[in-house]
Amino acid sequence: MTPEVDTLLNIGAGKLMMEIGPALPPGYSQGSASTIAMSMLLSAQEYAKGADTRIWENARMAELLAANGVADDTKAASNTIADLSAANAVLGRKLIALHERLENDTSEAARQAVREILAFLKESGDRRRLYLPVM
Amino acid sequence: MSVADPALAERISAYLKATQGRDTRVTLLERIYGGASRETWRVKLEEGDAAKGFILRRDPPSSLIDTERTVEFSAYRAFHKTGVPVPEALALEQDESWLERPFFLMEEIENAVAASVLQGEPYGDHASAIGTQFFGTLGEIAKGDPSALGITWDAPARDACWSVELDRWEKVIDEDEREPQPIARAAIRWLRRNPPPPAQKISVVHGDYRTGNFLFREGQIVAILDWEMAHLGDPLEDLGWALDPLWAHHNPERPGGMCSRAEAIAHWEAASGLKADPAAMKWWDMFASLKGLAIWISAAAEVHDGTNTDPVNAFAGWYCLAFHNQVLSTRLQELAA
Repeated sequence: MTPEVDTLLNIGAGKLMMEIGPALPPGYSQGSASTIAMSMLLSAQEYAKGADTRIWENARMAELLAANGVADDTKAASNTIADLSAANAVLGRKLIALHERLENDTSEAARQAVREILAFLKESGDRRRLYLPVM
Repeated sequence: MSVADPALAERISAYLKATQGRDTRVTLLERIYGGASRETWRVKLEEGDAAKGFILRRDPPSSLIDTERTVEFSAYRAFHKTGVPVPEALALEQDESWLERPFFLMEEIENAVAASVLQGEPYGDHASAIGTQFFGTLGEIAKGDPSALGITWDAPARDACWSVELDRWEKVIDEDEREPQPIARAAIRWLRRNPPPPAQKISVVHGDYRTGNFLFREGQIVAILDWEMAHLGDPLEDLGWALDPLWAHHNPERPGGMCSRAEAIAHWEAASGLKADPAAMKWWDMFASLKGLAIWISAAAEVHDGTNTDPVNAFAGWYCLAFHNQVLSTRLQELAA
């Protein structure tokens, strides 16, 4: 689609924040309009990277589970955000259990696996971080 | 002057007539933006020839964090006319028949503003002065003797402050997460494995002491607000929360958008007479971001479940949650390196 959805969201957020919001009654209405505009900016970022982030996370979590002997055959039914998120939740629960088990294992192999999980969580946090303009 | 909710305005007048014998007419009623835990309304009254204003804080149908309004009201009462600037609490009403939900009334602080964390330079040339007062006032709260202030809330043992709070916020995550939270869970386990030293003293903890929760006017803080999460505990809890990077106005080197971390801690130590031990602060810094995460998880659950779809809940449950996940995952990796 041209223009892309993120472009439309960014344009809409700008209109809402700069033109429509200031014309509303001050206080709750203006504040809510501004917050909705900011959520549209976040939505634009999510449109651009949301599927890619989940596909990467799901593949990486599957690798970590397999490397540490956790049986898993989770597959997203499709590459829609909803299906990717459903698979992400299943994999996430298994990763939490694995992480906790490894933290209670004093072997060097377990410590290395914990470092790999923490590196994954760090990169996941970085990829999912959203940004807003300075007002 | 406009009355956003005429039915509510009539109920307010009826309440004041019945409980205080006052003949009033509401000439302005507007909802103030931002109070996700309470609905906040600005009210102007005409009473004879006089015009008066006050703030109405009413329980929402569903709140971001389930808090006791009596705690917030008693905190305002305790600190009014101390060195801590707070508005005067005027009346607490638990009877839902008056305004549909419990509420309390407090003095309006006029011609003052609160900053948004999205503003780059909310305090301009006054940033340093605001920082001195902000962290100094937090030190005054920490220094206070709760019993001398008339505070009768449950007090944890000095060596249990951390676990009481961690239990409390882990429970919130347990109850409100609608999807797994691997970063929050890893942070909780780290916090349990690495407890902080016992509290130096038991203090009133504001619970949400941060930029955005105070009013200022021309370089002077005139009111510390939003005491709904107040409790007794380790005063370092508030310091860690106030220093959290979420409130840094885009500049993590300047907590609260005011001054450097070292300056902030120096102001707090000077006013409180206490020490911000770096080893203890490592724990309370991590806890602050975990507590934030719990609050944002709750906000996301409210929207997900449809119990409170206010835009501010959706925003907090998304942007702030992603922010604190990134902060915590970075800290956890650094600590393991």
